[in-house]
Parts: sequence; C-alpha cells; structure tokens
Amino acid sequence: MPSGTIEGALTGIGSNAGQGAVSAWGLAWGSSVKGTYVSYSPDGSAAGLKAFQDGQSQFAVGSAPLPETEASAVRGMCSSKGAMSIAAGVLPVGVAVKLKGVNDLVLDAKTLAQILQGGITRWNDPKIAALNPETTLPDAAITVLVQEGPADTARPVNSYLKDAGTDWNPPAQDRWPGSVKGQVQSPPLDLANKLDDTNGGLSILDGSIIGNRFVAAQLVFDGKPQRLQASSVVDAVSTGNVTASSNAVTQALDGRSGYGLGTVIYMYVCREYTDDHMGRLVRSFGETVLSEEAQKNANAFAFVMSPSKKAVNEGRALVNAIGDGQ
Amino acid sequence: MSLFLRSVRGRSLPRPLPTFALLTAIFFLLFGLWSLATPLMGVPDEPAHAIKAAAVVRGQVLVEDGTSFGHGVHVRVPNYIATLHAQSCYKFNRAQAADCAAPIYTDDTFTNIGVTSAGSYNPMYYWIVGLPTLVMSGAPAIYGMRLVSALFCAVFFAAGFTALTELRRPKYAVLVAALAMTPMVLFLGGGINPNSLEIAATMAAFSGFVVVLDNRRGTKRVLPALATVAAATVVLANARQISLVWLLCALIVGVCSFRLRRVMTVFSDRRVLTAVALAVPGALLGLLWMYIAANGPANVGVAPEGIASPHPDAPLYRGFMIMLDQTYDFFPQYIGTMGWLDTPVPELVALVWGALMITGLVVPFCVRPLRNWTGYWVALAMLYLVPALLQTALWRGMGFIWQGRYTLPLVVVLFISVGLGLRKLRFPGGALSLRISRVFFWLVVACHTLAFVYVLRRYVVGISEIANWQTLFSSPHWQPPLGWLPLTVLYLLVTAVGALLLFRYLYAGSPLVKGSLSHAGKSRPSSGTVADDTEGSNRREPAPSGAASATGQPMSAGESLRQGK
Repeated sequence: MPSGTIEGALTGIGSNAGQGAVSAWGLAWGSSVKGTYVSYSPDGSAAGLKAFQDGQSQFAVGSAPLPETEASAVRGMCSSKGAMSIAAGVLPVGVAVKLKGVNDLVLDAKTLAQILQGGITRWNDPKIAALNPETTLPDAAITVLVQEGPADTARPVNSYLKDAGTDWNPPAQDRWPGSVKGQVQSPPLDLANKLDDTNGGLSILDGSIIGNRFVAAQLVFDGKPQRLQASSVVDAVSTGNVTASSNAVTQALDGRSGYGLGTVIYMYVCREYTDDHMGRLVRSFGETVLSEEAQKNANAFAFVMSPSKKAVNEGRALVNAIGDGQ
Repeated sequence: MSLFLRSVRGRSLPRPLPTFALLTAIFFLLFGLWSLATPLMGVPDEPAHAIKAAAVVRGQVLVEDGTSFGHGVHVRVPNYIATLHAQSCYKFNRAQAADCAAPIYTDDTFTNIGVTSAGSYNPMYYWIVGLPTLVMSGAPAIYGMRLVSALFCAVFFAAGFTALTELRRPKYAVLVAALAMTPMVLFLGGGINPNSLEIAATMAAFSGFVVVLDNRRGTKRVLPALATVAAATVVLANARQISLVWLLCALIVGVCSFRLRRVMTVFSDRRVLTAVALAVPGALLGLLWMYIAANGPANVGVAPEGIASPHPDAPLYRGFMIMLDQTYDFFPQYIGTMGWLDTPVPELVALVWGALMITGLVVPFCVRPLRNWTGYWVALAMLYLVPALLQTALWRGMGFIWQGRYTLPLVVVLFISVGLGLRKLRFPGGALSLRISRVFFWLVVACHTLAFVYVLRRYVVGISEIANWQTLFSSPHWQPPLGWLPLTVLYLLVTAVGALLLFRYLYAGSPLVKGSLSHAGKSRPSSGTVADDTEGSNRREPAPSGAASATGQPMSAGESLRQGK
C-alpha cells in the first residue's frame, strides 16, 4: 500500500436522527477518499454510546454532547484521554399535522403542551382558533401520536416547552412526560405511516420525514411564528450559541432569529485511538464530515443543516488533533 | 474426455470416478472464469459472506453478546476484509464500470471491525471458504476464497450429474439438468455466497436420490450416488437454514417421481440405511446450530438498507398473494440477472432460456399419462407455494426481500423432474435430430458466452449509451485478471468442450462439429435407435411400464403423443 494511503471501514452506532446525515457523510468520504466506507446502525443514542464504550464501534452518534466525566471515562478503542463530542449537523424537528382541508397552522408552546397532554382534544378548540384566525378549523378530534422514549425528537420539544414556562416535567431529556397522550412504540417511519392514516393526527417528527408529506405547524418563538424551512433553521443555527472545549463542541439553536426546534447531531469520537490506523481513519472521516461538500450532501439528502461556521471551525480543530498527543 | 466417453460407450457400467473428475474440472473452470470476470464483491451479498468467512477461520464462530446490531454482527478481521463494503461503488449502477473501486492491498492487514449480515449462519461453508485468508492477503486472498467456493460447488454439481448418468434411462434427465445450468447458476458459482453451494448440493441430493430410487434392486451399483445424497444432505443441513427446506422439497419430489412401493423398498435396503445413518449425525449438527443460532443474539436487526422495509402490521395473506402473483416474474432472475440485480443478460439469452424453460414446463402437459408426472406436479406446486410461504413469513420483519436466486435450488429440481418424467421415452437419435441438436447446442454455447462477455462489458466499460461493444476494445476502464478478451475466449472454449461432451454422450460419440474430429468417422451412424441402444447396454431392469409400449420398448415422444398416452 503506498505510504499515506487511507483505506478502511469505520463502524458507527447511534441515533435514528443521525442516520441520514451519516449516510450522506459516508458517501462524501467514499467519493473523496477512495476505498473508505462507513457502516452505521441507527440503534439509538444509548445503544450507540454503549457500543462505543465497549469498543464495538469507532464512533457513535447522539443528540446531546457527552458530559465531561462521561467523555473522559470512555475507553473501548480510546486511550486514557477518553472521547469528545462534536456538533456535526442539525436536523429540524417539526409538529406534523394531518388534517383534511388545513394547509397551514400556527401553534405556540402552551397550546402544543395542552394538545400533547390531552387538555385540548378538538381542532376547533378556541385556543387553537385564536392562533389561527384566518383558518377554518374542522370539528375533528385530535389524535396525538408520538414515539415512546427515548426519542431524538423528544429532546428539543421538551426543551422548547419547558423554556416557554409550561408545566412540563419529562423524566429525562429524551423522554416524554407520562402525561403525554398517544405514546407508541414505533420507529419514526412507522409513526409517519400511522399519521398518514389518521385524519386529525398530530405527531412530532423530524423534518426529513415531514417533507411535503404533512403540514408542519408554524411554532411561536419569542412571540413570532416561525415556519419549518431550511432558511429559517439556518438562521436559528447561525446565531445559536457555540461552546468549545478540548472534549466538546456544542451548538444551540436561537429561536429569536429563526425556527429553533431541531436535534443537534453529535458525533462521539476518541481523542486518541489505541490503534494509530483507527486514528488516521477517523481523522480523515471527521475532516470530510465537516467539509462543505459533506454538509451540502447531508442537507440535500437528509435535510440536515450544517452547524454554524464557528462550530464547524472548532470541530475541525478537534478532529485534526485526534491522536496527536494534545 | 476419452475416459468419459468410454465410460458411456464401451462399458456396461458407467465409471463414475472419471466422469466425476472431468465434470468437476469443467464446472470448476466455468465457475473460476466467472470468479475472475466479476470484480471483487460484484456478487450479491459477497462482502457479508467474505467477512463472515474471514471471521470464522479466525475463531469467531458464535455471535457473542454485545456484537449484534441493527446492521449486522461485528467481527474482527483484517482491514482489507473489513473494508470490502467499500468496493460497492458500481453496485446497482450498471453504467458505472468497476474501475471506481479502490485496490485491495496485501499489506492492509491491521485488525478492524467488519460488519456482516451473515453472522449467525452455520460456519461450515465459511470454515472452508475462509481458509485462503489465513495464508494469503489482499485481493489474491479474496480470489482464493472465490476459487475454494467454486471448487466446493463444482464438486457437488459434478456429483449430481455423475449420479444422473447412473439412471437407467439418463439422457433426458442429464440434458435437462445441463440446460438448467443457466448463466445465473454459473455466475453465482463464481462468488463467495453459500447460495451457490445450496443450488449445487440440492441438485446433487435430488439427483443421487432419484438414482437410488431408480436402482432400488441394485443399490450396490449406485454407491457413488448414495454417497452423494448423504454428503449433500449433510452439506445442506449445515448451509443456510433455508437449505433444509430445499432438501426436503428435493426429497419429496424424488419420492413423488417414483411409485411408493419402490420408495419403501429402497428404505429397507441395508446400504441406504447405512447412508442415512452416516448422514444423520451431520444433519443433527446442522439442527444443533440452528438451535444455537435461534437462542443467540440476533443476526441482523433490520433488512438490508435499500432493499426492503418491514411491514409490521401487514396482513400476511396479502404478502402471500403478492408472491403468488409474482411467481413468473422471477424467471428472468433464474436465467441471469447478474451483479447486484443490476445486469440482466442480453435479451437473446433471456429469450432462448425463456423458450427452453417454457418448453420444459409445458412438456408434461403433452406427454401421457399424466400420473407419470407426479414429481413434476409436486415440484411445480412447490415453485408456487414454497417461496410464497417463506417470503410471507419474512414479510413483517424484513419486507419483500425475495430474489430469484433464492429459489434456484427448487428450479433446478423442477427441471430435472421434467427430465425424469421423460425418461420412459426413447431419446431421439435420427439424422434430423442430430442436425437440430447441433444447432441448438451451439446456440446454447453462444448464449452462455454472450452472457459472460456482456457481464464483462458491464464491468469493463459499463452499460450505457456511450459504452458499447466497440468501446470495450478501444477504451476499457477496468480489466479483470488476464484481461476480458482472453477470459471470454477461455469461457467459449470451456462451454464448447462441455457442450461437446454432452453431445457425444447423448448421441453416442457423434461429434458436435460434424466431420471435425478425426474419429468422427468411427462414430456410430445416426439412426433412431443409436442412443437407445447405448442406453440399452446399461439396462439393469426391464423397461418400466407406463409410457412403455406393449412390447416393452420405450416410445419416442412423438409416438407417445400420437397414441395419446
């Protein structure tokens, strides 16, 4: 093998939200570095972290950065330096509605919380009507369908509702409060199929699934309704807070400047691999993930937005430092 | 070659060993040429099976807890093996030549995680096929795996054909079995995938079984066939779980192809019982593996991406009905849909084999009495029902994943059962028959070669408007080992030799190229009785009743039709 050649396969386990993005990144890596390949299994963030810790994958994907103590305790394929979390994409999350005759809808945090908890049961409820004065709402029952936790989509919605001052107490950030109706054990695509068959249905799905298939409700952020569309999400990302340390680059969404509901896709990688070959492979993959081309791929194929420029630059710095003793 | 001819011409008993050796060599050459012509990982699911094989020979036989994930089982293998999935840049895209794949280096051996969806499969096939990776590395090791698999399959196909020659009236069965060796069967034989072994072993088990049934009073004469059944049974029990279904189907069709009394007699024979006793421990090992696999971690959590999606709430009857509806949609895949279902053979090849297959399926409706065709009816019913039942069972969890190649063991059995049904008819040997057969044999050789070179074209320049036959010569993007043209010439030669041997066997030494062989003049004159005389020299039992005429002589197909029997 000529010196400096990078060839090899990487294996990752992690969140469902990361599937489309990792697939797009893998394609970009395979086309820019011939002879490379990524196998990714969307078995969930918890399964991903466990596999990463057990040395069953070179990376994992989750919807939150690893806490510092947890990151430094990771071993598996990592040296004693542990792991780091890098914000690598943002997958918008939306309130998907299937309601005959209704093509646009506005909801605010309090109304959404009441709908999810069964406090509002019909679409022509005065509270919904007040938010949608120009829409004729049918007298139809609301059927809530959400994925029983842990769910990637629960985290941003929990945060949105809690921040809005509603009485919202989830048992964990990625789980729905017990009071939320219609919790079903279905993967997101099955949930979407169920919603498709349910007139009057409402669900929380990621933007790539909602697409043009369902109406995505406009959500009120900072008193202003924001539509789930790429430009609006990018606005919220670009002004969102970014933090950087030696073991994490985090990204937040700013609801004041755009649509602020989204799952941040974090890639967990080792700061240093016990095997140099792995370090070289992951470094090459990480560089591709944060490249413009891979981020464009993820946006085009999976509706995943790029983190802000600052987050990308900080992420690149961490990736480039993999295994160099820093 | 001469040994083979002597065995069928000059002796009262066939000589199975030289026949077997010769056929093994021919099948191995055919599979080997497909191995070289197909870029590494160009055979369906080849990466998963190659990774599994490399893991098994490194002691990773069982699926350990914590190694099973949604996309498959994680194993530790050399990086050049773990990275085999990266060779898939041309997959599903027949316009893409194989030059997009990266080289597989021999020194790329650091240990990496490999992902295989074959994790919980029985290790028997993989133990054998994975051996080259212990003594070689890189691309040569992968070709080595392919060649070992090819040899494994060649042995069973050769054993099956050798067994068929021991039928009391073997010619129709041998001819139909040879025609059932479609380009797809040969293509699969060149890859790393137990699917090919499954086809070969099912064919061998069925052929050996019917030979034993056909020679119930002289099982000593057909000991090689008996050994073939025992060996194929053990192999099928230790291939994939579905292989046992094909074995069961083959045995049932075999039983139905003969009278029940004959079957009962066979199963009281000491030699048959010995063979059963030898096969049982091997079969039990296979069952034990199934138990272990069923109680271990899952093989894979989701269907292969892009192929299927689960239907957890789907009504099962609907899946069953859809599959019934699609029974004949799979025929093009039986003939040849190479690569990752991305390269159907040229239309001419599909038409020729389509015509052959339809003829095979229709013949039983034309030759009376219909009760002689019980084996065929049962096999035909199985072709409808068994894939439908199996796919229905998988529908909810994995979606529609069925491919034609999965059914090929049953398809081969079905067509051999047609040959068995015809065995009571006289094999035509007149001058006209010879002339027609010559043309027909060359047509088959041409179609095999056309399929081969077309698949090479697909990988050398891609199949697109700008990549035609001319660009294959002028600007090849990818070249297989030895080059595409030498491989094609070799393939033409081997298929021609195979056709020549078959022709001389069927027509008692007549040359496939009239007057081209020095001893052609010595061949017996072609007449309506030549072939039957040769067969008659091997008679060990009186001609069976049924389609036989009142004089006890077998009838030609034409006579049978004329008499409305």
